[in-house]
Amino acid sequence: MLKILKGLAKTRIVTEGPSNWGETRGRGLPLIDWSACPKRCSICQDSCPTGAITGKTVNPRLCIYCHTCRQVCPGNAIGETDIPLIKESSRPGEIGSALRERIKKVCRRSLHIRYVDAGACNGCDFEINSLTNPVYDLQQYGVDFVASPRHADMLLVTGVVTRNLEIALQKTYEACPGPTLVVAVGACACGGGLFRDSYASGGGVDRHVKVDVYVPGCPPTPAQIIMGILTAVDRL
Amino acid sequence: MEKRPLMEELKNRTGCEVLEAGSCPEGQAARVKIPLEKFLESASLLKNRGSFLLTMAAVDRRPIDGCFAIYPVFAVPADGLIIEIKTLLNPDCPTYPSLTPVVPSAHWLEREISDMFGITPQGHPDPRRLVLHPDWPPNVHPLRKDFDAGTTVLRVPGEMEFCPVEGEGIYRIPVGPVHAGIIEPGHFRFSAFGEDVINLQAQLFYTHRGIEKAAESKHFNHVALMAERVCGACSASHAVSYAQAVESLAGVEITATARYIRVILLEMERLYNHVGDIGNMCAGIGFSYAISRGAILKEKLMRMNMRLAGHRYLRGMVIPGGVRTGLKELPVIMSELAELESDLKRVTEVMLSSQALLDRMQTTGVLPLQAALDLGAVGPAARASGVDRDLRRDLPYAAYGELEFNVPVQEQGDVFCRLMQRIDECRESFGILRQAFERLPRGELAVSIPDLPPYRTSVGYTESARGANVHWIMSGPANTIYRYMVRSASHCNWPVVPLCVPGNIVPDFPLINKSFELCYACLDR
Repeated sequence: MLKILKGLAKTRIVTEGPSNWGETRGRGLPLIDWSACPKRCSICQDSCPTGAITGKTVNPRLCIYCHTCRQVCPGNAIGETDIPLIKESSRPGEIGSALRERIKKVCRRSLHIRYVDAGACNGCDFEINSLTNPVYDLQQYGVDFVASPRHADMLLVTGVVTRNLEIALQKTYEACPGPTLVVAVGACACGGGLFRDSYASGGGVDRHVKVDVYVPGCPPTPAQIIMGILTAVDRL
Repeated sequence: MEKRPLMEELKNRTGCEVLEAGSCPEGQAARVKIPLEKFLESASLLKNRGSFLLTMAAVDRRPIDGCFAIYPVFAVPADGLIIEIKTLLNPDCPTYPSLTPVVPSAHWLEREISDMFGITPQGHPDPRRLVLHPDWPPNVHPLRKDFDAGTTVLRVPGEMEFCPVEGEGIYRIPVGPVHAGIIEPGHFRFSAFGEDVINLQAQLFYTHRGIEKAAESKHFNHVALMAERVCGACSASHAVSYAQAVESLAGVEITATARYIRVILLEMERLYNHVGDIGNMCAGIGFSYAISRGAILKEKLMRMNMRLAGHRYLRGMVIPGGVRTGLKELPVIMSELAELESDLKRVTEVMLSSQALLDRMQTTGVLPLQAALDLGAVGPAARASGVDRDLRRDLPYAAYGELEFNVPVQEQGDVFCRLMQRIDECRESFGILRQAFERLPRGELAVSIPDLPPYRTSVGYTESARGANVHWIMSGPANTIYRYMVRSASHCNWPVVPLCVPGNIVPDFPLINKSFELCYACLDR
């Protein structure tokens, strides 16, 4: 017991907010520089494993951030966005207070999330798990995960929606009291990812339930997922 | 020279045809073709020589030579040898004598083959479906070549088959597939008398995405991306396994730099998994201090991954032929790791001095040694029961042959031993990382892979945080993959979990489940 108290006293506050997120930037969304892009070249488009590149634009919902296109581009014309965020306008410092304010106003002080794995690889699930760790501490904004869809305001769905989980997802959605916000997390949930066309997968969440916000990334970082949750609350 | 007698005996006893015998980057490998009637005999011969089953793949070879074929792959650690058996089957009614009575660890593999190919293992003790759920129509076998990858499969009415448990006062508790916590989907059916679990059965394969089918006729570089996405928490391990399979098929040897970088990636992956699990196992007993501290340390490791490799799950680093980029910020990470090691030591000291933790964990969820051996349990779960097996040492790959480390082993096989096993393995991982950081040579990162010879097979494996991840590939024409088979550590260990639960109380199941920390996505594919 003494050791625990000593350990607790020694640990400084590790919790971060949007103003001091210690996350280093990862791979961004490929960004094609049209001026440097060689004419009549479609190598990036042909080599993209998910078909995310059409007409020299990258669809963030399909991209799995593998950066194959950047390696094959003969003109070195493909860069990347700073951080693959969906909402460019919001500045990090405002996110925390904004989220808290919105949740206070719209959700009567707290937002309850039910998480559904609809056939993910575990990566997105681990990142959603990280949201509740002392560093990201999602609860500080009044957001929490609940065990039952009956108590949920929002569904956080990961995965490609496999054939074996279609019904489970549908039932969970129907068990939520309306209006239910749906946030699709990760490349598989947003657009089906690599396994979109398989016999066993349903090609993304929006083919099954209405999606309010997409959080692209493979997997998206915890900070991006928090941004996604904020964006969804904004839509209420 | 040691390997000769075994191969000679196999030749004499079974009249097998040796297709290929030689070395691959990971050691000695031999491929033999064995006639169907000698199939079981050769398997029992291999088993008696102390080998264990790495994986078993079936292939629909009808477009090539009009046959089905099965390829069990055995590892013989004493001889440092991997033996792949090839047996051709009749295409009209494909059947073979089941391997399970001889090698029990094949039982889920054979049920899977039966589902996916319609190949019947005769004499299998449990011929129920495994991968395909009850609402799949009969006679749909997705991995046959005449099944198109994009087919929409109709739903038919069907009931899950669970062994009945009957008696006065027996309750059935159905749980899942959507669970209360943030975990992956699976359906569990407890039969309980009061709080005591009498029997536990599971219906898994909810996250079956059809990865193996999706990989067919794709370029091998494309499949490397899929291999990384089989499982999030073993991304590096799966990617290395697959890359090694491709490299050994192409006969390419990768550079020393690439081998050392792979070791660093694999050990970083093991560390973040183990550290996370050490904390997370305490979630099964509600010990908040350890849960939070474990989560903080894990987050630190994930961020180190991000700085080292540009990805929290180390994706995009390993490619067939080597690694894509070098590691960044090595000296800083090295000192941070040393700090983290002492932090972890402090946390585990506090954990282990808690009487409540010992009370809950000791003698809970025991996996007996014999069961672990028979059912082919792997990884920390098996070593916690006393199975002294670690592919990094027994059949070294990457740069493990040049590094010094111990393989810790426990004895009792309970939840506490699995916790201790992870703590011990973390210590070894820190040691391996220190050596790898110091010795990391400068040089070329990757070599190019020449055109793959068509219709050849090869196997690649790694010891991930959960155990052996084995990838088996067969090349097709024009550098494509003809058949891709992933046997993850979770595939080996899931069958043993229901064994450890009866005799414990229902509230101990989350703890036991967490102590194995199995991945559903790896299993379901």
